[in-house]
Amino acid sequence: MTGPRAAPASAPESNLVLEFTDPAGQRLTWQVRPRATVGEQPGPLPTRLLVSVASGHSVLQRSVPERGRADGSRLYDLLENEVWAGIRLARRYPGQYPAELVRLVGYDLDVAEPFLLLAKPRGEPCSRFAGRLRLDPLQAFQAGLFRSLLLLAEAGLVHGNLSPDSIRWDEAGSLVQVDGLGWAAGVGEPRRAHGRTSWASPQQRAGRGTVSPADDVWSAGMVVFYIATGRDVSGLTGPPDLANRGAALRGVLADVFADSPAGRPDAAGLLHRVGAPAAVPAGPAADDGLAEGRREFDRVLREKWPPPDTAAPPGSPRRRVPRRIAVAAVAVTVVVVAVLAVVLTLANGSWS
Amino acid sequence: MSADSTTASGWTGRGWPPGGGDSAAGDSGRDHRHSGSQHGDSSQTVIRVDLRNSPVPAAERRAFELLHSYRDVAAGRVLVVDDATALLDHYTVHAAVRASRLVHQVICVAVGQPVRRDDGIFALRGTPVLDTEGSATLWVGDAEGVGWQLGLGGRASALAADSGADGASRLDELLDLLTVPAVFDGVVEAAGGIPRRVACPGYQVLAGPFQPATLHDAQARAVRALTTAERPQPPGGGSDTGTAVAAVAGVGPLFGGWDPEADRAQRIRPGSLVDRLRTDCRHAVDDLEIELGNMAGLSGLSATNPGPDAGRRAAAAAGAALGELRATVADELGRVDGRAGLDAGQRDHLQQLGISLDQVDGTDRATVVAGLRREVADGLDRGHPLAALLGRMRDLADFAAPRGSLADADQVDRVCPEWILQQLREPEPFDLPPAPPILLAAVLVGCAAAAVGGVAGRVTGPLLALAWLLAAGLALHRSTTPPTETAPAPRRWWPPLVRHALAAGAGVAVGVAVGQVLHVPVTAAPVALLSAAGLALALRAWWNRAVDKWSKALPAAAAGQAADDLVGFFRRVAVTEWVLSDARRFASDAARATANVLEEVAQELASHQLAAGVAATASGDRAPAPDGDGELVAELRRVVQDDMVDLVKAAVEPCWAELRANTIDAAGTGLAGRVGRLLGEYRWHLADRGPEEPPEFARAGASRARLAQLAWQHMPDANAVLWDAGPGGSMRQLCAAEDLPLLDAAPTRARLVRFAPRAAQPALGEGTYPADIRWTATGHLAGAVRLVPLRPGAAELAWPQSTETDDGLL
Repeated sequence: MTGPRAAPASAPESNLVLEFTDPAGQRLTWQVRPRATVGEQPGPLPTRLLVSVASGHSVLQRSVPERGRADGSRLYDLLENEVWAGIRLARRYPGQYPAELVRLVGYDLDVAEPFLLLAKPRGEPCSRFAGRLRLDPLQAFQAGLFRSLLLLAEAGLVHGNLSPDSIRWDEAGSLVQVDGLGWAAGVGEPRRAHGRTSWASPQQRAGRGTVSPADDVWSAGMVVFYIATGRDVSGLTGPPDLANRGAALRGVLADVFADSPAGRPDAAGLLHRVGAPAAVPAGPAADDGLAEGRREFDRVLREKWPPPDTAAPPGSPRRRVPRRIAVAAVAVTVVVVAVLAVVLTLANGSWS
Repeated sequence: MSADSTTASGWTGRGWPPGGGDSAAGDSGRDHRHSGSQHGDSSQTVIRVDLRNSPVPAAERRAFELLHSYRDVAAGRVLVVDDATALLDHYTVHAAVRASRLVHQVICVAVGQPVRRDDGIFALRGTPVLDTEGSATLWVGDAEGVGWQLGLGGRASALAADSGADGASRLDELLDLLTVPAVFDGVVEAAGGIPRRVACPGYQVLAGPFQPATLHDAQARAVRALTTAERPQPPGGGSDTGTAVAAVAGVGPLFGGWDPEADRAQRIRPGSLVDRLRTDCRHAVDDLEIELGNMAGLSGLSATNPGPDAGRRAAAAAGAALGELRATVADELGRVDGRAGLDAGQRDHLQQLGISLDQVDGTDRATVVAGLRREVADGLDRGHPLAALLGRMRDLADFAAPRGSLADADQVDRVCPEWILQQLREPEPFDLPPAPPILLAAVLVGCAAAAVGGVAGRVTGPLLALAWLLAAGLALHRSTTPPTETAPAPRRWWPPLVRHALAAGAGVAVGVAVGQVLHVPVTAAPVALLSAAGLALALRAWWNRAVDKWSKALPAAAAGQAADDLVGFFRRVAVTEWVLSDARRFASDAARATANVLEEVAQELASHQLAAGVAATASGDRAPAPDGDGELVAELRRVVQDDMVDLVKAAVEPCWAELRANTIDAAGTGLAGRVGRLLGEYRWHLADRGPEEPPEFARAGASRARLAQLAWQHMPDANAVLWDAGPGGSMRQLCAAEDLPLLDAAPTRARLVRFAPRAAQPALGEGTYPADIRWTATGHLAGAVRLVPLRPGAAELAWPQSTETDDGLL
C-alpha cells in the first residue's frame, strides 16, 4: 500500500483518500482535506490537521516521514507505541471513551509513511495557563489530571511523558485531556531511561526498575505545581520546594515526590484529596483479549514491515509472551510426570 | 482620562494628544481645554476654541457646546482662534463668548494676511467686542513670522526667518504658550495698555534641555526595569520574594499566618452538638476521677463501695463519650469540607450544628483588595519588576486557597489518639500484689507482737491473725477483674490467702514462744491494739498503692485534655476552612486576577516599547544621547521611572473596583487599551511638556523639583531671554516682513510678558529675577511674549450693519 492517495477526479483536487484501520480492526476509507500543519505537539512526529469531507470531523494525523523510517530513527517506535497504547485504551473503554484521554481514530503502519489518526484534541497545552487559573478551574484541572492517571492505570498503562506539552486544558469546558502516548508503557515493563528532566521521576530518568503508575504521579505532581504557582521548574532535578507554599497545595502534593515510588499516593488517593470521585467507566480488564490482539498486531508488523536494525531489547516484555507459555508448559509437564510416577508406584506396590 | 476630567491631556503644539481632547460638535480635534497644572485645578484652565474656516452657524454651535460642556469649571479663560477676515462675520460668536458668565478673559488670535482695500490696508476688521476689558486681540499675519528687532526711532530691520526645528508651525507654538494660564493672564494684562487691545504677537521661548533621544532612552530604561524577568529563583522552586508566613500574613489574615485564636467570636454555640458532647465528656471524666477517689483508703474496701468495678464502668463511659466526640468531629470535618466554598445546604447544616458563620474581622472584600493594592503599590515603589510582583501575587493566591476540612479529618487521630480511647474502654486489670514479702513480714511482726503478752496474748494474737485474714481476703476478692477479650482470665483470689495465713500463724507462734521464753512484761491489750493499728496501716498502704497504680494507668487527665483539644481543633478548622472558606476563595482569586493584570500590563509595556523603539529607529532617534551631565540624566531617569510606576498604578486602578465588586472576570477589561493610551499620552507629554511637569497620573515629587532645578541650571540662555531681553530685542514676530510697516515699531510702546517655570526659580537665582516674571506651573518652557501695537488705522473695529447682538446664548 502506498498511503494516502488523491481523491477521484470528481472530488476537489485538495482532497485525499485515506485508508486506515480503526482500533477495532475494521478497515475504513475516508476522504479528507488537509488543513494545516500543527505545531506545539507533545513529540517530534510531524502532525497535520485533516477534515473528513463526509462528516466534517477533524482529526490529527501523526506520521513518520519516509526518510525517518529509512534511517532507523525512533520516530517509528513512537508512532507504533502510540498506536499500541491507543488500541489498549480503546479496548479498555469501549463504550464511553473518557474525554480525559485523546482517542485513537485509526492507523496504518503498512505504508511508506506510516501514520495514526487521533480525534482532534481539545483545548490548548496547559503551559499557557501556568499561574493563571483561578480556584475553580485550578481544582478542576487537578481533578481532571488525576482522573486521567486513574484511567491510564486502569488500562494498565503508564504515560511516561507527562508534561505541560502533553497535557491540554480546555478552558471553556474545564476539561483536561492527555495526549502524547508515544512513550507509554505497560505497568511492570522494564523502565527505559527517558523523560525530560524536570517532569520525569528520578527512576524514569535513570531507567531503572519497572514501569509504575507512580512515575506518572510524580510527573503529574510537577505539572500541578507548575500550573498552580506559575513557577518555572524546568531547571529542577529534584522535587519542588513545598515548604513555602500554601496548605492547599501542600496537602494535594504531600508525598507525591517521595523518593520511593511505593511511597507516593496512587491516583485514587489523589482524587480523594481534591474531593473528586474515583470512578472509571466500566469495561473489560486491562489484559482481557489483549494478548491475542497484540500477537496479531505484532505478526502483521513483522510480516509487512520488518523492524529497523536494532535488535529487540533483551527482556522486552512483549517478547516474553512465548516464554511464559513455555514455562507454564514445563510446569504442567512436571506435575503430570510426578502424578504419573506416584500412581505407578502405588500401582506397583499394590500389585506386589 | 475621561472627557469629564478637569485636566486635559496636554498641549497641542504638535497636534492633538493621543485619544483626543474634549470635543464639541464639528471638528473634534481643534477645540480643547488646556491646563497649566495637574490634578484638576480648574483655576488653571484655558479653553480653546478654533473658529477658522467655520460658517457662522457651525462656529456658534461649536462655541456654545464647548462652553456648555465646561459650565461647571470656573476657568474663565478662553482662547479663540479665528480667521482675521471672519471676525466681522463671527462677531455674534465673539460677543456671546465675551458675554458669557463663565468667561472672564478672552484672547482672540486672528490669523490672516492683511486685507487691501481701496480705503487702506487693514490687518484686521472686527467689532468693538474685541476691545473690552479682559480681552486681547492678537493679529498673526504670518504663521511662521520673521525674526525682528524693534529699531531705535521706529526703524525696524527684518532678520532672516528660521524654520521650526520639529516641523510645527510657529503659530502653534504661540497658541501653546497662550494656553499657559500665567502667560494668558500676562498677555491680557499687557494688552490693556495697548490701543484697542490689538497687537501683533512675537515670542521667544526656551524649551527644556532634554533631547528626544534622551527622553526616549529614559522611558525605555524605565519600561525595561518594569518588565525585566523575575530574579532567579532559589533551588527547588521556592519563593524568592520573601514569602515567609509572616511576610505573607502582613498582607492580610487570609494569606497565611493567621492565628484562629485571634478570632474572638464564639464559633461553637453553647448547647450545640459538639458543645454538648464535650460537656458529656467532661462529666464522664469527672465521674471517673470521683470513682477513682472513692476507691482509695480503707473505705474502698467496704462492702458498700463498688470498688474497681465502678472505676471500670466510669472509664468505659468516659471512653464512650470521648469516642463519640471524636467520631462526630471527624465526621463533620469530612462531610462539609469547604474547599469549593459552602453552598446553601452546607451553611444550613453548619448553622444547625451550632457553628457561627459570622464574618471574621478584616476578611471582607474591601479589606482584602486594599491589602493587595497596598502590596502592588509598595512593590512598585520599591522598584520591584512586574514579574516579581505578579509572582508574589500568585504566591498569595496559593496561600489563601482553602485546603478544605477533609484534609484535617485525618488529623483527628493525632489530636485524640486511639490509645486513650482504647485504655478507657479496656483498662488494664486492677493489680493488687497478692502477697508482697514486706507485707507478710509486717503481718508476722504484728501478729507476733499481739501474741507476746502471756495468756492474753494467746487470745489477742490469733484474733488479730484472724482479722487480718478476713481483711486480706476482702482486699484480694475486691481486686479481681472480670475477664475481657484482651485481659487474661483473672487469677483466683484465695490461694494467696494461704501465705497470709502462714505469715499470721507464724507470727502468732513466734509471739507465744517469745512470751513464754522471755517472760516479756507487757500488757496484751495495748500491744494488740498497737499491732492492729499497724496492720490496718499496712492494709491501707497495700490497697492504696494498687489503686494509685491503676488510676495512673487510666488516662483520665489525658481524656479530658483530648476532649478540649478536639474541640479546639474543631473550632480552628471550622473557622479556617468553613467560616473563611468563601473569603479565602475570594482572596485567592483576587490575588491571581491581580497577577494576571500585572502580567498583561508587562506584556503591553513590552510590546509598546518594542514598537516605539522600532519607530524611534525609523525616525532617526537611534541611540540615546545623554546631554552630557550624568547627574541631570540620572535625575531624569529617576523621574521617568517614578512616572512609569505611577502610569502602571493608574492603568490598574480601575481593576481594584472590579475586584471589590467581586466581578473578578472583569478586572482586566480595557486594560490593554488603557496602558496603550497612557503610554502614548506620556510619550507625548515628555516631548511636549517635558519631564519637569508631572503628567496627569503622576506625583509631583521631590525628584521632579530637583530635575527642574538641574535642568535650568543647564540653560545659560535663560538669563539672556529673561533678564536681558527688552521689548525691542530680537525675537520672532508673527508677521510677514512686508507687513511689518503695519506695526508700531517704537520699542517703548511694545509690551513684554516674561514667563518661566516656577520650578526653575532656584536655578535662576532666588530673588534676583525681574519682578514682572510670570511664574508658570509648567516646568518646560521659559521665554517672553511681545505685543507690538498696530499702527493707527491698521485695525478697524466697527459694528456691522446689524448692530443687535444675540442675547442669552450663553
